[in-house]
Amino acid sequence: MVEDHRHFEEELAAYLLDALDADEASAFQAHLVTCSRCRSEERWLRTAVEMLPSSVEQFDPPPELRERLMDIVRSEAGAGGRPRPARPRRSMRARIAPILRPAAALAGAAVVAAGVAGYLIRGGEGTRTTTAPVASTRAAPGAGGAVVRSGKTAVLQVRGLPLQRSGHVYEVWLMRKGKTTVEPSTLFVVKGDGSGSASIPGGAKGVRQVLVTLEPNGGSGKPTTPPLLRANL
Amino acid sequence: MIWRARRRVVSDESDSTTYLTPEELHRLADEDLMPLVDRRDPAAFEIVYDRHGGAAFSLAYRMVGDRAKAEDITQEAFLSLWRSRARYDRARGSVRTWLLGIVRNRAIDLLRRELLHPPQLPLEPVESTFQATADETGVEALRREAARQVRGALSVLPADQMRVIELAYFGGLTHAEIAEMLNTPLGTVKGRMRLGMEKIRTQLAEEV
Repeated sequence: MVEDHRHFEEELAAYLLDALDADEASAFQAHLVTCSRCRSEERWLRTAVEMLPSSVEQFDPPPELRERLMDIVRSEAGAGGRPRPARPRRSMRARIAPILRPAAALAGAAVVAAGVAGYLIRGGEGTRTTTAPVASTRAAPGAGGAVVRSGKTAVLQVRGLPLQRSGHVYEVWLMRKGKTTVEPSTLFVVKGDGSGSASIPGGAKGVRQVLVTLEPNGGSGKPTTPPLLRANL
Repeated sequence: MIWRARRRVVSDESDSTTYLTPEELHRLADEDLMPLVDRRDPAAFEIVYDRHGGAAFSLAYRMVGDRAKAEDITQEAFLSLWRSRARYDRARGSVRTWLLGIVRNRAIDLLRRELLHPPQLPLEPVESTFQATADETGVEALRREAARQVRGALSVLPADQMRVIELAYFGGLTHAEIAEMLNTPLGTVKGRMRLGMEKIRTQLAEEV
């Protein structure tokens, strides 16, 4: 009996952390029914487990999430409580797709930056197109590309970048004239051959430098890794 | 009549109908708001969301390391609360603990479905992207302060104890999976979990 108790006592923390498999958890629950000592310890230790979710760094959920939820809730409350399917949230890839789409179309029209420039010239009806080379840094030797600007449009075209690690994306940063800090612009991923492109929302007017870093999925507000590419406009 | 129109029914027993103003609703404890949520009161739901949406989103983000997925998980958890698919039982703990349990389960489902590896601490480099700072409300400030205190309790743990607790709680791994992942005997993993959790509990007791 004592041996039995010791065995379960060792598993108490794992049980509370949901780290036992289904059979082990069932056996532990059966033991709890008969063991007041384990029940007492379980109550005492449970408080610590319940505090774990509160230990994480606290973030504010985006306001759109609240709006979306309240839209659904008010609609269902008004419809006599009949649930309707939640509007599916778009995945990160879907979210960046509109950003990538024009760039992807350009990439399809031509593989190199010169081709992109040609497309912009044709589509721009006389708008002047300029191309600024993208230089590699020590962090990504051999990588390169161009920033092609035409009117209010700016497209970053890259090549030779390593395939982004799982859970990561490339993020474009803009340094505006007269500033020494960068601001986040857009996200993109590269294909297996290291090439990719991204249209820069709002263009590059007033921008003196475009930089690229590797960031966690969803992007960052400030660069968390050294720049891999840099273009002086 | 206007007064009545502004108030919400809290009990519709024929002779004792009681109405609550929005201000009164805000003063209700979570456990007293839940019956109103069950009766499909959007205002009650909104208050529950405002109180716990941040903690739910933060836990989901900590577990899956992706903002869009964390939003999905938070949305699903609150909709299951609204649609009464997940029944709250007051006897089993606070609304917050129950809700965060739903979030955790959904995050673990996603981690297992997508075979994601749990994000490693610290996630601090990303926090500045959407963490409130100067203009945070009193509730948010309290939430952050509570989080800081619990992190303080966790900071006393040796790294090997912290790691097994993180992998189990935030990564959804079993002790056998953790033992395999760390190439460590199962008994050692169990021992670290036990010692770590006891230290956290003792530390919390001392702070109270």
